[in-house]
Amino acid sequence: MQPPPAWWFAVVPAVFLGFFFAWPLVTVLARGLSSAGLDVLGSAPTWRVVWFTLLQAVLSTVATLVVALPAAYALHRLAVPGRRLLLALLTVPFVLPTVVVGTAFRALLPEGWTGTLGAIVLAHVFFNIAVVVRVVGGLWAHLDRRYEAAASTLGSRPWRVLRTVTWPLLRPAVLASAALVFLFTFTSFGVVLVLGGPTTTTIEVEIYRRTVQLFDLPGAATLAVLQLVSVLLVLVVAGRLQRRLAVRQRLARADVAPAPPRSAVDRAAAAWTVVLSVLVALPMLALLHDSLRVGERWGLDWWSALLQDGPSTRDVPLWEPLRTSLSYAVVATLIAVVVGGLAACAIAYARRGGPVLDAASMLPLGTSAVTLGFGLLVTFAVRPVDLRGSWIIVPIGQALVAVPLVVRTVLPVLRAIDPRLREVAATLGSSPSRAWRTVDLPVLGRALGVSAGLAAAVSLGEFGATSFLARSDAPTLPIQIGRLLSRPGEAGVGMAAALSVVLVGVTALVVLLAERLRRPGQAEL
Amino acid sequence: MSAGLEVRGLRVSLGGAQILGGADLDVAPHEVVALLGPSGAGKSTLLRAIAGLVVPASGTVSWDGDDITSVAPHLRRIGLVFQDAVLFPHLDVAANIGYGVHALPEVERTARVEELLALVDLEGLGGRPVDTLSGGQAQRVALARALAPRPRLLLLDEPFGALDRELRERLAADVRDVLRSSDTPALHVTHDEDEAQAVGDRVLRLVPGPDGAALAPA
Repeated sequence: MQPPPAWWFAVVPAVFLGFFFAWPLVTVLARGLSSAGLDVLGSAPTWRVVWFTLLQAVLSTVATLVVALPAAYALHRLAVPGRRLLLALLTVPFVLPTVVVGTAFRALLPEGWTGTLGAIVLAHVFFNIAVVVRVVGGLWAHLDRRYEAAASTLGSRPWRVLRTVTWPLLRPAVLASAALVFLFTFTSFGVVLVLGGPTTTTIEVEIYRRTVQLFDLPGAATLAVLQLVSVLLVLVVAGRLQRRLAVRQRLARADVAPAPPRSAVDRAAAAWTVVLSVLVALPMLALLHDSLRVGERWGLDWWSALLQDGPSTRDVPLWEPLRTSLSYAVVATLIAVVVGGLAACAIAYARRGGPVLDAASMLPLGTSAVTLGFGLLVTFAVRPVDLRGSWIIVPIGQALVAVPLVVRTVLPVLRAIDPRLREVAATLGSSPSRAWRTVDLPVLGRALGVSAGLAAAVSLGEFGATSFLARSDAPTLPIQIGRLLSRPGEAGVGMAAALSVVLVGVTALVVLLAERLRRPGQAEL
Repeated sequence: MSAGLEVRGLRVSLGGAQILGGADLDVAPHEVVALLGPSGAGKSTLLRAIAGLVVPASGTVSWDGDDITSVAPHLRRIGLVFQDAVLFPHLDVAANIGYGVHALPEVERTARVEELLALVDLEGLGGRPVDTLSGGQAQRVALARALAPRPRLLLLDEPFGALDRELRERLAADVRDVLRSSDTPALHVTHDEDEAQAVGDRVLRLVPGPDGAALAPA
């Protein structure tokens, strides 16, 4: 008894991704390689940007690993009091819109720090702690403790057990999380746009600057190609390394019961986790502080300013971007869940080419959002499909960014369905489509609910693609925050902080709702 | 003061439940003791406490009269063979067996690994990845790995529980011979009467009680 043929499910995602992802990407590629844009590669400032992009990404990745690995251990292997709360606190930054992260660090750090490498790395670490804690911790929690027990009864000291047993078994997950952090920071946009300076900028921001400020489309296209190639290279190398290091090990079925911290190292890891959770709360508190601090006194001035029509057309009252963001989020979530859910089914049921489809569905995550937005803009700004003036292009761009996350959430759940259940359904007289509806669909429904929350969070915070696509008279919340920040004077910063608090609140609400649907032990990220 | 292992009044609680309620046990040098008991009676917990992998609530574990209750597992020189081998999946057969003797010079280590491969009848399999072994082979490698650092006591936790009956009986005889020839005292846990009689010089029974299990002669 086979599941339904994969191509039933593949049609819609293939058409959607082909039309809105592959075509714009090819258009960008063609522009970059066929024109005077190549001049960009000959200029020294370009290579300074490339060098800085690489430098900050490597530093951010290493720093995140150093900071987060002890927490991954403490939160998944030790009985630390308040474990779930600490885990939640450390996860919050990852769902925050990147512009908000940038804004929060501007609020937190002293004036002189804006535009420095240190500020960017700090913000990136803050944002990515959750990636390492969740990905590595997820494996660590299921690591069979008897491997370590066997090693110590064979006379190995704790340090040698860690080095010769725990580390090799954990390495694939550490590598996977490092690759993700590197990708996120290498293509970082919102954080660097807010925190970076003239000499501290990433390729992604430079693409944006050339497109929007310099109108150097060929130059931007060349940089987009450069970035895409680098990202693909990293994905390929990381994938190969991961396959080489992969260890087929038996994992404990349930989470291994956490043990009370006994050694000095255990206690240090637990203490560090508590400290880290407090540190992670600081930028959020700074944001709140800035939204309430008016000159030398406290007040709600920035909040009430948010609610009023300002003197210029750019001063829209709070509920306008809020309404725009929410309605885009609804549409983007619908698109992402339908396309991503169908794609996950196609990958799970494919008899051949599953791994290839799997990799292809990850491509939008590897492609920079700015490149995507730019690609959509240049592709659909011309006849026959001129979508420039249409609002639908915004949620489409946001959905593209969210689709890989939907696939990641749904796929493991689908793969875990025992195929014998479908066989049972068939022997009870079910047609293939009824067997699918009664066996797969109920399981799928729950996973889709969880992924909808993620997709909505992505849409709400999306900045890279949206900054190209949003109409100037209908800004989303992140876009409006960006505008306020670029305004001179204290009012801009204060109102941006207040609006960031609103965005954090809305995002947190959505993610909390989705978390309620998640069953313990289900796939993360 | 007695020679060998001496366990007195050992109590262990896990997650609020008392698993062992005052176990007393001796294993003399050169002796193989078989320990019988139904599943879930606390046999594994007793072994883990003797190996130092769980901390007892009270009671003592001594060796040759020295209290080792609070000594870390890696300093006890007590080997443990798990029910399903638990071979290191990232190492090959030879590296698994050589894991506990890494401090030896290369030449001696290789010789020791060869010696043990011969002892458990697996000559020539040193280079095999462990996930290509059959259940019986994996269990032999686990036994060789545990014996390599010459433990002063070997604990066997239902080492053949997952294997079929014929293989189990053959391996039980092999283990007895191996323990004899390496002169290693052992505590061999099983739920199979025949296996216990076959391997043990002496058979004890773990009897579950309301306040945790205790030991009695079979």
